[in-house]
Amino acid sequence: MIRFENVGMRYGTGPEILRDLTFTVEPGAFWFLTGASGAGKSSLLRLMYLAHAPSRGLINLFGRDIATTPRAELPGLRRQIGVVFQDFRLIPSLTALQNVALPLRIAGKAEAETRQHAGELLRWVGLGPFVDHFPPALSGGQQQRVAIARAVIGQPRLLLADEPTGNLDEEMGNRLMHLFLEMNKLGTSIVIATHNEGLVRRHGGRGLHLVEGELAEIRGGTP
Amino acid sequence: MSAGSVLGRDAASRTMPWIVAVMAFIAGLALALSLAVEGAAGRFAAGISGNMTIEIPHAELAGAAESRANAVVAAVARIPGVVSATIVPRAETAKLVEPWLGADLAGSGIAGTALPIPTLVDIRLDTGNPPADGAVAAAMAAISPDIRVDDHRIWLDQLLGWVTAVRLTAGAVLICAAIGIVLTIVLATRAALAIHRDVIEILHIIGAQDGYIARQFQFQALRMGFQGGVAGAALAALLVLIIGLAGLSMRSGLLPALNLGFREWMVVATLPLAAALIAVVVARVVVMRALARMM
Ligand SMILES: Nc1ncnc2c1ncn2[C@@H]1O[C@H](COP(=O)(O)OP(=O)(O)OP(=O)(O)O)[C@@H](O)[C@H]1O
Ligand SMILES: [Mg+2]
Repeated sequence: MIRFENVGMRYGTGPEILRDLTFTVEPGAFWFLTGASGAGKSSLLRLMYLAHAPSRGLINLFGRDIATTPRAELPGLRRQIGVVFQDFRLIPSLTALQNVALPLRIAGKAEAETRQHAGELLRWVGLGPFVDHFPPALSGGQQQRVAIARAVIGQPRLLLADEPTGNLDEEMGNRLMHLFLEMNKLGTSIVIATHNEGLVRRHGGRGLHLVEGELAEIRGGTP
Repeated sequence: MSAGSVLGRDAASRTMPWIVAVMAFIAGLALALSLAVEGAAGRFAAGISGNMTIEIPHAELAGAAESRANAVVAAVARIPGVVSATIVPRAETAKLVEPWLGADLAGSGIAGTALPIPTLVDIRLDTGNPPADGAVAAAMAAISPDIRVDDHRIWLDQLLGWVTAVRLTAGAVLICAAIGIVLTIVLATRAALAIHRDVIEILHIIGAQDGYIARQFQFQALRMGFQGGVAGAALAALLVLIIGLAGLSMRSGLLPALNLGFREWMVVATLPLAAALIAVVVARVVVMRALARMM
């Protein structure tokens, strides 16, 4: 699913904030990405969802070497990835419903179907009355649920979530973790970045632990 | 679902239509004036190229001038393409020089017929089938070398030169306005790219193709170009209309009025479309080039 070999990463001309990352995420994995604040969790996810090129090393996604994949083919790979950003990153000029529907719209799916699907998903995460609200008028936890709905609507092969339950109460947090588990059973590989050690332990405790941009430990995976 | 605008309105997209409007206004004025001048010159040329004037020098002997004039009329009438030839009555010829010489001298009063005024013969031509070049001049030369044929060639040449100058000036103004619109859209699009950097990244991550992202900006540019173009062209048209109604142009009758016909108005009306087209193409090029530098 994902293979990193000696990968490094830097922002602009700054120092390398990720170094010597080598690991493989197998299909069907349910992994956590842990580490202190500033360790590089969000940055590693950026590499995985193809928003940033590595400064060195090799990244292989869905069997494709990213460095040699033509630029025009990257959108096709990205459509198989769902992303929940730490800061949500909803599009402010679109309503909650339009934000959730956007991935399907971009993929050219039928409009009516897209709309219905997005509406159902929003109702399921408890945002039925808010479908026509714009993101700035939603609370942090509400925005987070919209972001999650947008990430899962395309039934991605790979789901990357950055602190997806950080702003949610316990009940809604559990509900969404269940959604992720269900998706995982249906074949979606999942990587969740989090500070929440309890969450990690409750769900198998497998994954990567970063310390200051380096891989300190691979818990229960294939090195 | 109403698709919703992925890019919200930004400051740049609010100001730019006005700059485009100014450019379109200038372009509209240049275009309208050039078309009006061209039309007026065309009508004027058509009017004066339908006739010629033959000038027979004053002759000392009474009656000699008259017989020469009759010979000229007879010769000219034989040339194919000449519709009619008439001797301009002496009184009218005198009137033509009156402004320069004064009524007393020019009229038949004091100086009488002694004033050395040439005899004029007015020739009307069949504009659909005019005489061969030089045919009239050759016929006159056969009668007397001092008879002058005025086919208004000098006037027409000057007019043509004048129209060409107006046309070139208008063309230069149009090109400048187009460059102005291009630069305006380049600036607006760059600003919009910076403002919407975050949205662009999200769209990329969600799997949007460059073309999809570019279309969002093209749509904005289309709106700016068209709105600005309509406002500018409409103002220019209004001004031209007012000038025409006020009859500010050439009331003397020497030159025809500066008016636009239906065809000319249609050309002015294409300005907003041209502005919109320029805007869309420029926005696409700018965005696609910027996106190509991203991952
Ligand atoms: N856009 C950026 N430009 C420059 N440096 C950045 C940028 N984003 C992050 N960094 C740096 O990269 C390092 C890793 O940041 P990152 O956001 O990946 O950490 P994180 O593990 O996600 O932290 P947190 O748990 O607080 O979200 C930090 O030192 C940070 O300062
Ligand atoms: Mg982070």
